[in-house]
Amino acid sequence: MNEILSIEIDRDSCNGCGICVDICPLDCFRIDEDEKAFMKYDECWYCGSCTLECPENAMTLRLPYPIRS
Amino acid sequence: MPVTKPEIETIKTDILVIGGGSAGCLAAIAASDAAPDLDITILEKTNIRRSGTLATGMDALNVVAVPGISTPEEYVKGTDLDHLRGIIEEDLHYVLAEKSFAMLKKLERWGVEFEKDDTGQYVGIPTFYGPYPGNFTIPMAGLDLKLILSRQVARRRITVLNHTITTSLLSDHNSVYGACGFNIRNGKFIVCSAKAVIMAAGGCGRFGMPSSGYMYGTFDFPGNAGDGYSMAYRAGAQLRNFEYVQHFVEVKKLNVPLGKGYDSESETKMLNERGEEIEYRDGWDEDEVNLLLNGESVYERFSHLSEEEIKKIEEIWFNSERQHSIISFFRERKIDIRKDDIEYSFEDISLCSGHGSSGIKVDIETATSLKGLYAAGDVACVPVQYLSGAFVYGEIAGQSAVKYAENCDAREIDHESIQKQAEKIFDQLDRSDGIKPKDFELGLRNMITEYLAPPRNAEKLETALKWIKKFRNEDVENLKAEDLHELGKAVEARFILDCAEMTARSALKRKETRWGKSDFRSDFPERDDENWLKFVDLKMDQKTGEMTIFTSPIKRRKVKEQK
Repeated sequence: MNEILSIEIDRDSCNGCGICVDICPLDCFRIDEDEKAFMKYDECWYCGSCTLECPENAMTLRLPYPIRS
Repeated sequence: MPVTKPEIETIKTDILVIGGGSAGCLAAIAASDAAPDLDITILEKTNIRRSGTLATGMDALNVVAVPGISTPEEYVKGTDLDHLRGIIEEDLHYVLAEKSFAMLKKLERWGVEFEKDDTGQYVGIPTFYGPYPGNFTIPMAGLDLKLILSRQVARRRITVLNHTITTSLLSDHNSVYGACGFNIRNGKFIVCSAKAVIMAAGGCGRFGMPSSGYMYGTFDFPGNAGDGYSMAYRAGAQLRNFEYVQHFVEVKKLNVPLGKGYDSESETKMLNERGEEIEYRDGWDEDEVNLLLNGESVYERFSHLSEEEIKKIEEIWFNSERQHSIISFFRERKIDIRKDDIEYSFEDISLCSGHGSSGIKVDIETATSLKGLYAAGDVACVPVQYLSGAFVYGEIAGQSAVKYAENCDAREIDHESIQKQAEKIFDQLDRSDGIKPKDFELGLRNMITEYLAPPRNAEKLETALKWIKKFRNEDVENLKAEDLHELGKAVEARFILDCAEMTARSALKRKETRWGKSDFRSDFPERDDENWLKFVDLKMDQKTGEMTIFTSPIKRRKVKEQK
């Protein structure tokens, strides 16, 4: 079962470069054992920085209503 | 004995800037331009490229006195009547407006485009809610603004320490000579001595809870937890206006600046909860306090507009600042303004002098009450200064710090006390049991919402103080962090707690209601100019460690007094 998070990361597209880990203004991301980015800290402000900076366009911002606001 | 013994690294710089956001970038750039040989260091909590309130940009400068459009005198008058209501040091606002046009020109040279009409003049739109002269808001294509600023920093001899959270200032005898903090990635504890320190750590975005119940769905940038207020307070600085909280009516659960009749040239309709058309004017006490006291929402209707008009509104909304939140919000909730009304309600309270009023007391040189400490941006008390204030005063802070640093010797660091401080922080990583920082913060912020958000009264504020005491004496000492990121949250929890006490005590002091939604007291619902035409200030009593609240006089412009 997956947790519902505000940033959806397409694992097939993610190249593990770590740019999102580096630039997220809330330090939300880390790289996992498979060298893919994942949202470790659910503390997103929906600023969109990661979606703009990701070179593979692997990040999508979601506000899944009404489960998440 | 701590298992995780922090490795301490000592560094030396001439000018230390805490926070690499809008004000911090301008401060470092100005310092470097004034004295290219000085060592300048920025401590940045995440990464300067996108950090701070400006992450993915803003779309206007709200305070620009463009020659031929408006004057600094008009700005001072408007901000006094509309925002500050007599609680003012006029010089601060005059200088902001006076230097704002040169700042716009500087940003233009850096590649920021501002909107102009066919004649080549800037397009100025109203900044004030009320009918006061002067169109001070100049729209800009500013979504890449933070990238532009961080590139300007990179071009200069400025050291940026990213992912480094500042935990305290180094200070003694009313002067500041550096700061310490730690790297949230490698755990290195940094001690940085400096000749002058510029505090630019932003406001307190994580204060009250937003209507969504999501801790990070705040109006203001939630990376800032009142760090600068708390650190300056603990070093002994004078702070001001903490009874004034930012408190806005926004799109319910979206909580970004949008709508309320502003974004449309067409006539939209405002409705109450019973579907009756009402006249609701954003920023007008009468209308807002009414909503606040009734705990109601207000709705905006667009369904009677033509497709062309609707498209125009959507075009504006989906290209505004915070556009990523906005686009996602409408898409995921399947809200279509062709048929759906937009619901607006009061959102979280926060502290910040960008749109609010609270901050470290500064003069027009950005000097605080402590020697060697300068402050600019949301952390400094230049009420309702917007982004323009962060830029103008950020630049001044850089120049002031250079002047101070050039006549100042480096100070000795007390390594023993720093070692203790570092160990106390890192002990939180080694506890077998304790309170999660997130749980603590949620409890604290729910309390803040319940007892510190207007409408409030002496009873509620005393209750807040009772809980603050409990949070302080029992809970905050038992925080347990799982990793370095969480350790940062544990540090921030203390910042938020200090801010809560500042607001509770300041609000108790001001026995009147002056700013409606921002300070409404149900036990003193009227404005009282006879007794309260003065500032509520605070500082830490350095002997007892207690918070002292006192009042200070307002200051009109010297020029005016001579007339």
